[in-house]
Amino acid sequence: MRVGTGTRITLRVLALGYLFVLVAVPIGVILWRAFEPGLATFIASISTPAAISALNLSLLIVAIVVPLNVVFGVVTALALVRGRFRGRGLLQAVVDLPFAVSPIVVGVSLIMLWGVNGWFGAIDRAGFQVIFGLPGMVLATIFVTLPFVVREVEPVLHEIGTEQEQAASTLGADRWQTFWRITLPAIRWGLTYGVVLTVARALGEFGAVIMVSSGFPGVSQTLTLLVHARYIDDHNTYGAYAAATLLMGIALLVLLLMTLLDRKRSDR
Amino acid sequence: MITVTAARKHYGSFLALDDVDIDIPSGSLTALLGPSGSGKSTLLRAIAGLEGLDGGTVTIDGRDVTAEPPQRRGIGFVFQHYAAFKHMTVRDNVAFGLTIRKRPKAEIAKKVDDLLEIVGLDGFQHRYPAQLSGGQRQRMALARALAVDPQVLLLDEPFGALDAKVRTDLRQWLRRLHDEVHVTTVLVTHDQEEALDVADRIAVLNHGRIEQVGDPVTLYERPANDFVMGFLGSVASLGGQLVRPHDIVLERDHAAALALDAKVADSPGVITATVERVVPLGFEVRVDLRADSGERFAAQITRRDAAELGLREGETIHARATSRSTVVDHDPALAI
Amino acid sequence: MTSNAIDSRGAEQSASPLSRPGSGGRDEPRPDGAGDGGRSGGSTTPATKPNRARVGAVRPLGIGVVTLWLSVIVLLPLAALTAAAFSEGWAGFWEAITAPAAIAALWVTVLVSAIVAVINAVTGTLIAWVLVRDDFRGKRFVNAIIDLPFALPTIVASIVLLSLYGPNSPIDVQLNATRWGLIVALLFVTLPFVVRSVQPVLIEADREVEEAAASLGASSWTTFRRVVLPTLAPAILSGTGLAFARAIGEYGSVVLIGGNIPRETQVASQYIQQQIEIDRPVNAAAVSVALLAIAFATLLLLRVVASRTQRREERDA
Repeated sequence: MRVGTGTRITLRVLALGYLFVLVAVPIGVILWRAFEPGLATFIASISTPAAISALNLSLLIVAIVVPLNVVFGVVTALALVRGRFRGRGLLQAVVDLPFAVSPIVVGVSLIMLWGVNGWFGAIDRAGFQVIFGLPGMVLATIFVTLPFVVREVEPVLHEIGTEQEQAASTLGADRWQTFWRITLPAIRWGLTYGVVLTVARALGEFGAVIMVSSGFPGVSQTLTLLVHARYIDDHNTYGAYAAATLLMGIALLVLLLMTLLDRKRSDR
Repeated sequence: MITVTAARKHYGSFLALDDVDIDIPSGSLTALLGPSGSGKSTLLRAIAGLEGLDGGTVTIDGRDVTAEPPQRRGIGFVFQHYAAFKHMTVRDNVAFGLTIRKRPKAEIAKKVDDLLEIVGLDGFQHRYPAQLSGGQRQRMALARALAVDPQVLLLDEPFGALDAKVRTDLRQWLRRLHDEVHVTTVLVTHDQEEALDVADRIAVLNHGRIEQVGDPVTLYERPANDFVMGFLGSVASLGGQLVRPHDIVLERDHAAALALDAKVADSPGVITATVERVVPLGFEVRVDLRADSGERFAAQITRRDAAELGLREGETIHARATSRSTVVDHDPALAI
Repeated sequence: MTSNAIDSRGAEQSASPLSRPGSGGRDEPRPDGAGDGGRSGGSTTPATKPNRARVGAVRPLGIGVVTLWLSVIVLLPLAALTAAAFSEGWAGFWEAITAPAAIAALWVTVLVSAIVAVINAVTGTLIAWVLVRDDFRGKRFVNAIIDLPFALPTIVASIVLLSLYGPNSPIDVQLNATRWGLIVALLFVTLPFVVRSVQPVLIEADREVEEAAASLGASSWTTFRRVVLPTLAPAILSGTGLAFARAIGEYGSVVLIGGNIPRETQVASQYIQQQIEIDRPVNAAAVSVALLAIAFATLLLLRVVASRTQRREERDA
């Protein structure tokens, strides 16, 4: 389609203007607000005991969720790509399900299953607190991040096929050796990408986690809960801006990592 | 020696191997030849253990390996699409089997270097498969398979993904390699020229069954049926029987043709035909003919004979089979 | 796509339920049986011990583990939710979702999400077009910016928008606790969907067809309307649908700017959260199920449309 210069410039201005107002300006304003009182104030605000404990909790959740997602994600992807069994289509749909479920609904579902009055309430009554404890937050985070590793690894497995693995087996490699030496290296970039997505989402998840956390500062507050609590409960607007800026910094880092990884993946 | 007995294999309702028996002598280079879907690849993969059999046994050098996984069969396998380990260098690819077996580093290094020299990839040690051409990748795959000193070497359409020139070169090269290494080798191919060129024994497969096994000359000259005849070379249908186009003699003189034909046993007789086209093919000339019955066939004669006959399009000529020609009754049920 | 970071990934993933119907073909067992476990064809009795050396095949153990994992993490919670929603029977469920406050919250959610989806359809297509067909300095940077809303935690999105449009707004635009606030927040988090679903189609689009239309005397606008738009329609629709599905469930980005005013700006997710806080689990579960049903219906509709379009394309091809 040949578009006149005037039209093209108009369209460009419209698109960029929209992005500017919707994305660039708000981010500029929050950066300005966070750093306006000086870097020292900013650092003080994100290094209060509550903030540090929130960061630690967020990282702890990531540290638990990522290995679980890697192991089960790879097994799931293998089963979906290589398995020939009844109900495979159903399994495919279940893997996508978390994308369609509102974070709040995730939280409510977990309460209905693991809460004191839920199906598995006996566990709670026996003294092992799932909801309003770390296990609940972990379960919520796994729910929302479940598809990432599977969906990143699956296409790679499709693409590499089974021939390299067969070749390895004819050369004497057993199942484990084949997996470690052939399959895993072949899917490593897809897997890494899936892990990065998982980390980003795990650090940033809010709705599902707030439903199943008791939200005590210094105990069960993740970084996102801290942002919310500072704004709503403490009326500490600046503290909320500072914590949000920290999270945004992490998000930008993730974004950068992904762009790099994506290039690496397509180079291959 | 590889012995396959009563091998059966289904894929759903498709019968890929139908009670196949075959012996592959030690040190031979045997080609499994057949059209696609004939079961040749399935047979090779069953020997390798990459495919389970529904029934039957496989023994390698007297050892029943039917229930053994590929790891323990002592084989080397080369795949059509190379199956190169993309994340490893050429050296690591070739060393893979030895690394798995935890051989000493020095031994691995020496063996890998020796093999790379044999396959002509010396100096490519540190390249990745993506940096190699198709032919180089396949030679690397061969070196990788040979590194573990397999009792048998199995090649699944190894040159199928390469272009024509490289394919012919690699074929010659494989033949010479086999003459040096003498490992029992089985090669799957759908290309009869490749089988005739490289193998010392050929097994022709069709519909999951073995039609005939033998050396190239036997198969070419004494095919067991018209499928084998048709698959191993071009054929002309002469009076309801199949002959090779180069076994057809054209005569101007009908009586002379009849007299000469009388000396030939099982002769299809003398067919009178009209010359439709004369196509020079270099050393030979192909003559497209139409018999009085309306049947079309082609004869292949030398350029000199053609010149002597002075053939022109539209002329009438008399065709007969030569005295030592290969003749097979045409069985419509086996038509290809 | 030159630079597709988070969002294109995210969009592809979110889009996968839609693309599923067409992808079945490549899963068929190959005739040479390489990918086949060899389990399918056991009509004859094995004469020998069956060969177990099927490379790359998944053993039943793996499938069992996967099923158990997905059940515990995803299916059982959703089953418990559904059971809770109907714990007082159909009547209880119906009563819970037809309570005036619940109806109002669902209505606000659907209305606002629909507006957001429609705006996205237009702006998303526009941005995708500019990113593919236009050329200017910093285009790659702009392209990367599109992914930001996916990478940014939703609560941060909320704070970011509040810092501009909230109380003591530096530009004196107050959207706090208004439906416009909701719309802006949802536009922010759903920005990538349409852009990333239209972009690849536009890249692949056959420009010769457009040139042919132009050579036949069509104006730019006619060419766009009659030639380009029909090609892009499935992608626009799919992106819009995904944006809608995301918007109706959104919580983090609207929780601060929305104000949570019942019948005005309270969205379904906020209503659910409130019902849990005041200990009305049945109400919360029932509205959750209603929200899920709307999301599934949307995705199902998209899937049907997508597979129909695909079939038509295959037939035409």
